[in-house]
Amino acid sequence: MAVKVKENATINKESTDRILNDPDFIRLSSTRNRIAAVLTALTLIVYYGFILLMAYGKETLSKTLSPNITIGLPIGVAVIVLSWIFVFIYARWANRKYDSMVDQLKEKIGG
Amino acid sequence: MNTSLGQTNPIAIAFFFLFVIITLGITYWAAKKTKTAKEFYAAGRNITAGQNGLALAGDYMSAASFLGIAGMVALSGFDGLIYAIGFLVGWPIVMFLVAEPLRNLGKYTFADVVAYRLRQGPVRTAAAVSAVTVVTIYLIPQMVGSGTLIKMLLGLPYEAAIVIVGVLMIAYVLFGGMLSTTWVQIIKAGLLLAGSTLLSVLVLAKYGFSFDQVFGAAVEKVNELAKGTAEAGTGFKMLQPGKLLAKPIDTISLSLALMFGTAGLPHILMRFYTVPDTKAARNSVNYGTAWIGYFYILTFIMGFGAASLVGKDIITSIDKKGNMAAPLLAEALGGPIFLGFIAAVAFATILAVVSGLTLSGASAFSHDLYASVFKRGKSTEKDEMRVAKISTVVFGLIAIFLGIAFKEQNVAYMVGLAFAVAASANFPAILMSITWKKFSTAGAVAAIWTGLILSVGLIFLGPTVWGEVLGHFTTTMVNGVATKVPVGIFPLSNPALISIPASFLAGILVSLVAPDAVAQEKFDEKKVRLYMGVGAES
Repeated sequence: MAVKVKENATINKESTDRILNDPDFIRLSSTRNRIAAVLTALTLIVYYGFILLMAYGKETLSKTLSPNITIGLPIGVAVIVLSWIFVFIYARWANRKYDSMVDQLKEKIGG
Repeated sequence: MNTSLGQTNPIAIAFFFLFVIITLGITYWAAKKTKTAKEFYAAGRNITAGQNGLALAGDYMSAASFLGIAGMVALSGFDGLIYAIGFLVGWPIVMFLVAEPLRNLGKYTFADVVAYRLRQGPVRTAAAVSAVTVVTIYLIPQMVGSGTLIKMLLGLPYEAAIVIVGVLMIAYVLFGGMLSTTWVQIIKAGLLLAGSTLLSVLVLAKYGFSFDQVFGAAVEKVNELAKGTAEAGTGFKMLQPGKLLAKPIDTISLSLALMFGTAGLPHILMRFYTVPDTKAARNSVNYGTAWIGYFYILTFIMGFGAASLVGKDIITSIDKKGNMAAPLLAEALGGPIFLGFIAAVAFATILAVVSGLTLSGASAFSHDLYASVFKRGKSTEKDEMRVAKISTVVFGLIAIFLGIAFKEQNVAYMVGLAFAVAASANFPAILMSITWKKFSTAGAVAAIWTGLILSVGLIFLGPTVWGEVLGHFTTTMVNGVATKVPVGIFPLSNPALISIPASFLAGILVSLVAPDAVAQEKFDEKKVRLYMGVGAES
């Protein structure tokens, strides 16, 4: 459960600087950025990998797994499922780790 | 197979009335809880993550998805997948790049976030114009689709159908604001998911729950229909990537628009303000993506099911683009009762999507243009609400007018255009304002206008509008047969490949040339709010 912080939207310059230079805040923001960047890159790789395969690898996608199932069909479904798994991974990480990192930092700086 | 499509279907009308009565009841309930601006724009921020997940799915699964993709799969098979996947992969981008920052930094519209530390006037004006452009372009195919659909499914005249849709959506938004719009989305999403699940299960049951047999039957049916024609024996092509992808560069451009457009759709972004906090915003994307992904997988089963159980010939005889594949499949599987139900679901789908669009279009007028630009943030809440309600009515009337004006026009390409404009004009400005300290007022204005003008302009000069709509063709030989092909001054049918990078480039260059000292100073404070949710609207 997130701690409700009631202070005004305008935090003063001094406390802003204090938070920004806090190693915990730096860790917090850089971890979030890194995870978001990696997951975005994975999504792009999976999706454009599929698009390129559709454009230039028609033969590969047309190979059959059973008489009427070409390999492209499960791969297409896998792109949808993988996209959701990436979203799920992010939500789970943020719910479990990120929120508590934010709460700890708020407590530390006396929010 | 004889179809009752095009005749008055009493069951469809009964379902339709039931939906209208329930949603108007909800609107009556919501009206009592919709007094303040926060309630009108953001449902008081009391929507839960689970509810918002369904509402996001409801906003996103338009008739273009339900009828369009199922139809495309029924006619082109595998190639339909590219749309189903393209529409879904926008959601990880929304999750990783925009949902949480939007919730933490904004109030009611995405322009709140773009203009956060910049000069309000020029940035809000550009963002509002771009929001209204996207919403209007998205609205036209929905309105035209609703007219055609209701005419086909309920047997009502086109104009009457458009007026009914317009009046209902104005009523939902005007009286019940975001609260009733959200519940209309939730009910519609539930109906659509239930209806699609039922259709898919019935298709699978017909073939002993063997996917191989589902696909095999579609291949066989195509072969059977093509006997003795030039296309004889080509059924297996249904299962392979094919001619939709003749020009890979077109495909890449389209896929960029689909992927980054979702993160720039005003009516989708508005949903993140309806939940109480960042955590709920994030979880609602997780739920929404799961529902939408599940639905797109179902469109595949429905599409192949329609290809085998209805057949290309009947599908195209009713509608050339295949839009009636899903309702025809319902009729083939469950007779007029199931057709009536699916028809009402399709109707609910359109009604819910146009309501969400109307609300976000009206908000761009009242919150961004009137309150922030015209009144420089000094209007009273009562005044802003009054303008919001007037905008709703005006916007609804414009939608009715456009729906009638575009009657019998080919407007299917407009959904792709709306995504292209959203990806080019809104997404780059949102992303840069969140992540880049040196992003300046002039840079934001340049990014938005460049993306907007370039995407709309290139669509106009491209093969779809310049070629197909305005009638510029060239004759080329396809398999030894002279074929008329539409040509544009601009070669790509989707401009995203050019207009997205151009918008980023304009934003970066202009920000460097015309920096904004005040905005850079405010970035630090914004960063704390962005990552920790400190000071976020509650």
